[in-house]
Amino acid sequence: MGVTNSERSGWMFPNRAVPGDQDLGWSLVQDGRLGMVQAALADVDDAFWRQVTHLGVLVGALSSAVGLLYVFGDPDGANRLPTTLVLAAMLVGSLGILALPLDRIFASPQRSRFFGVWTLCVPVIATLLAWLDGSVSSPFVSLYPLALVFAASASSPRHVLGVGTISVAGFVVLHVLTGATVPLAWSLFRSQLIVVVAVTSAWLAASQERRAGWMRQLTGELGRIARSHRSLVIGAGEGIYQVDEDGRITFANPMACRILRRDLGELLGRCAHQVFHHSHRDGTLRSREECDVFHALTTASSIEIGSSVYWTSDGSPIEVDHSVAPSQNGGVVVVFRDVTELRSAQRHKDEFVSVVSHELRTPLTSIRGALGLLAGGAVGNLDQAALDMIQIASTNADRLSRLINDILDIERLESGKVLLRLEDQDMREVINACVDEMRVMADQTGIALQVDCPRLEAVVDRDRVQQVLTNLLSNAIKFSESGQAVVIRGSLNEDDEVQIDVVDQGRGIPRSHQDRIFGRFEQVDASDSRRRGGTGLGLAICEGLVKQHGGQIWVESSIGRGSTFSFTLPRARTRDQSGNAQPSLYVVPGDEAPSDTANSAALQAHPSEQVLRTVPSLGTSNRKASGVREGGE
Amino acid sequence: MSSQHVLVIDDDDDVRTIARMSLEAVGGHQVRAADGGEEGIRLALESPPDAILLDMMMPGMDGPATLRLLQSIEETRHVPVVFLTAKVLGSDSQFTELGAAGLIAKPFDPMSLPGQLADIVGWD
Repeated sequence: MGVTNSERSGWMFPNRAVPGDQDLGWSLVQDGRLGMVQAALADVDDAFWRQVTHLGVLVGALSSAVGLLYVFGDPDGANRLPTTLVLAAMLVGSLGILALPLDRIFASPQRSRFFGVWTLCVPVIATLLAWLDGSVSSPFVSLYPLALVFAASASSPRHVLGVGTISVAGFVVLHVLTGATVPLAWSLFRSQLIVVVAVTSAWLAASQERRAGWMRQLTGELGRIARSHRSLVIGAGEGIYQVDEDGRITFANPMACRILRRDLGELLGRCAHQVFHHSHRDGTLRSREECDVFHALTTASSIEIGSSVYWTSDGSPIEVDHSVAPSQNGGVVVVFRDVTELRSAQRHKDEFVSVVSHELRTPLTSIRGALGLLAGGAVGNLDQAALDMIQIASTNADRLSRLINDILDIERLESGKVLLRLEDQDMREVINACVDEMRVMADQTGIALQVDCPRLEAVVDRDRVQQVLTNLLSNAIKFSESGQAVVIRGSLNEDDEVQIDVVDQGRGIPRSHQDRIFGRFEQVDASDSRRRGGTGLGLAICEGLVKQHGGQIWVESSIGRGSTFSFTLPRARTRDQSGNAQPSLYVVPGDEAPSDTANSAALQAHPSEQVLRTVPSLGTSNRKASGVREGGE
Repeated sequence: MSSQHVLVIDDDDDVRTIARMSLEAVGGHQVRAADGGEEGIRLALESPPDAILLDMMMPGMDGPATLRLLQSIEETRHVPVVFLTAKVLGSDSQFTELGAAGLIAKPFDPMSLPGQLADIVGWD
């Protein structure tokens, strides 16, 4: 039926796939409907060829029976044919019986050709036998319609016409050779049965061929789709596996097998959770309730990108980023990649940055300290010129120190090392605390600080939000002229978030800079970092911190009229019955704190707390925060 | 500000010198200094100070380990310990969770160090 041998035994026919076949996994992941259609087509195809084979057997058996009757059904020996010849012809006719074993040996194209040639032989043999029998009324004539019916079912209309033509010609030749006493017209009329059967058979064969053509086209198209999908999935650089509604693996691509260091056979049909997702990195068991794949299975929800740990066959953990999406079979498809090396490199980098910063900070502490003692007169009096020089050195030591701190902060934000300690906080109180802190700086430069904020509860890490506010306030003060005011406004915006605006009347930010201002080392004027003592990292840190709270930060500004820096924070929703805000998250220790020590101490101090959540790093936070507006609009 | 007895524990010689000068010359305190956790605990046991300035990152016994040991010893349990470390991302709360009285950021201003210490520890 135009289907090649390799296709029949390969991925296109899932029911034919054998265990260990590399395509087996793929055949199982076929899109549900595609797999069903292909299976149905394969079934129809198989059923058809079974019928043809049975028909072949029937034709063979009938022709044999006719021969046997001829030889043995006439004991008085009136037959004009030698018995051996009849038996030989019977053997040829019985070739149809061979269709049964041939079906096992040949695939369809050869089989089809065999049946075609065989059906053409049958009317020739029938004519020969009937001629030797000496009569147009010979029982062998009945082989003509049988051959036609068979040709119609097993071959093409061309074969049917061929068989029909040979049959009619054979009948005419028979009429002439046997010297029939009736007119040829009468013989032809008697052969009308052959014509009717021939026409009907040709029609049947034509519709059969149309159907076969349609099937070929459809299976070809399905095959192309499947091959295209297959090459995508097989060649993907990420591991892909699918589990059914019970969590059993129904498919895994080669990359998944490679990452997990397991053969496909070790995975298929087994529970993914038990095979490679059973434990956390520290070896403690991961319950199904903690498993994000099971969570996606039970809730039919997607997880865009999550971090997890899988286990290879040799029992070593691999850190993965995986995404989970519901699939059509009621299960989920998981796409994952091995990030073990990446994470390891990140840890090395973090460690390096931490050590370097410590090594930089220690001498800086001494320099700053010595200068401070000199400037403060703690070691004797100096003249004004010397004091001025010491002041310059001191100021720059401070600036270097701020730069190191800011670089560290950025580093920690990006590596996701910063955990938020979220609590319900009254933002009015937080704002007032910041304003008190900045009051001295504002007074020195003659800037008025005004707060306009009702009582507003937000879920925040107070220290971090204060850091953002202090930074924005410090910028606003730095870029305002004496006599101007800086207003800090708190409100609920239309999205029901807490929004804080820091409004200044300073010089404003050119539109071209507004998009870039939250980038690293971005300053409107390169001389700002020298004149105003900034590091150029403050707003990048602010953006990182606000995003980690799930908020956004942006600026609206016009030259000469001032700037408004705004950021949003999640509004507090519920409070426990006692009215106390409960801390839900813990702070990860600073770069100089040994993390395990400090962290376990924090946990011991609050044993009831179970939730520890890393906050997505700066560079990748938008992966999780769907629908987050980008800052700096 | 009354004269107090302060123990400085820091592995860096120069930082110890600066802290000692600052606390003695500016704050008028009596200062002893140790170059590591073990030495610091030994000095603290000899005669418990009124406050301890403790470096976070030291070779061998680091700040948190030293603090835990100090807290486990009856004689030093009540002594307020202030960490001397980098202040990153407003991380005060984590140090108080460890049991420290507070944090003074490095690099510190030697002229205001005694004042900062007094604020944290609660000296008049």
